[in-house]
Amino acid sequence: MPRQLPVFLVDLGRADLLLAAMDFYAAASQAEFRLEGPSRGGPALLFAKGRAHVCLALEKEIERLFSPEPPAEDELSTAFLAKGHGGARAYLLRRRFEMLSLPARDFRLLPLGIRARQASRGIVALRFEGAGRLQLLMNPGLLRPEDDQGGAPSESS
Amino acid sequence: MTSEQLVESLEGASEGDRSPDAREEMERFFIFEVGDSRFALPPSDIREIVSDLEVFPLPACPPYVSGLVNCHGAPCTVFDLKVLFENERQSPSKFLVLNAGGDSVALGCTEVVEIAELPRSAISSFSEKDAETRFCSRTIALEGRRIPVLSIDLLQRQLESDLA
Repeated sequence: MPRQLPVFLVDLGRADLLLAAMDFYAAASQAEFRLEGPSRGGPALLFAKGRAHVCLALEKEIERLFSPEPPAEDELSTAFLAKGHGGARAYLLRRRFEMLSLPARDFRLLPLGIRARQASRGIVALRFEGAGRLQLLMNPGLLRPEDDQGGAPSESS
Repeated sequence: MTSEQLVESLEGASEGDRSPDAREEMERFFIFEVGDSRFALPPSDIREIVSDLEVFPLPACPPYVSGLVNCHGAPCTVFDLKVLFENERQSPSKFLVLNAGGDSVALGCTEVVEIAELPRSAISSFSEKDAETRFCSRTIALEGRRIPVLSIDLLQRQLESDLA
């Protein structure tokens, strides 16, 4: 196992959400993408890097998990782009985040009894940051964009 | 390294950590309190008692799962028996970390009372149906009180059913 795991860290107040940087092939700022939809019967599409991506609003998933304070109005969106088995996907985040590298050995699987349930929400591992903070690693590839119709933010450009 | 690769390597590392769910003859019982209620467990069900841990709330869990504790670096799911039995939340001062097969489970408690050694005549069994609804396989008679003997297996089955 590599010693370090590069992650994007999103501070949600009560906990941190982590996204493994290597789950994505690129990130695009708001000026670099165009958002369309959602149209009738289909999810929103995000065009970036010369490709159409099925779009999933991470904000909605975050609210479902943590009910944090909403992001500030002037926050810019970032699209994390992935090419998985389900095709090209874009995970849209409105919150600020930072990138850092964490020791891989500090991560733990969730207890067996709740592991499958948490995985259905995209949470696949965790890390205790010091004594008082929980960090949850999300693999957004486990989330289904078809559940997210209508969930895309309204700032399409 | 992707999150998928991390999970695969963590799963590989944890395979060897699982101890068998050993159950022994049950004549000794570990007695503890949750608020005003007393419960018993076979001592072999308890791996460790730890104090003063912070409970980290976890999303998408039933109300009787109050969250996770960090037990020597390993996450343990915490059951709140007060919520399960009385629909009230408690502030546990101690956690009973359980031997729960491959799972990591802890019960919050307010007081550890004693380890009691009892004759078999002081132990009664529940019917299977009653056991499932009360999460207890048996009761013991101690100092004029009937104390339920919790079944970790039934607690885990309830969680499994609620998360299905």
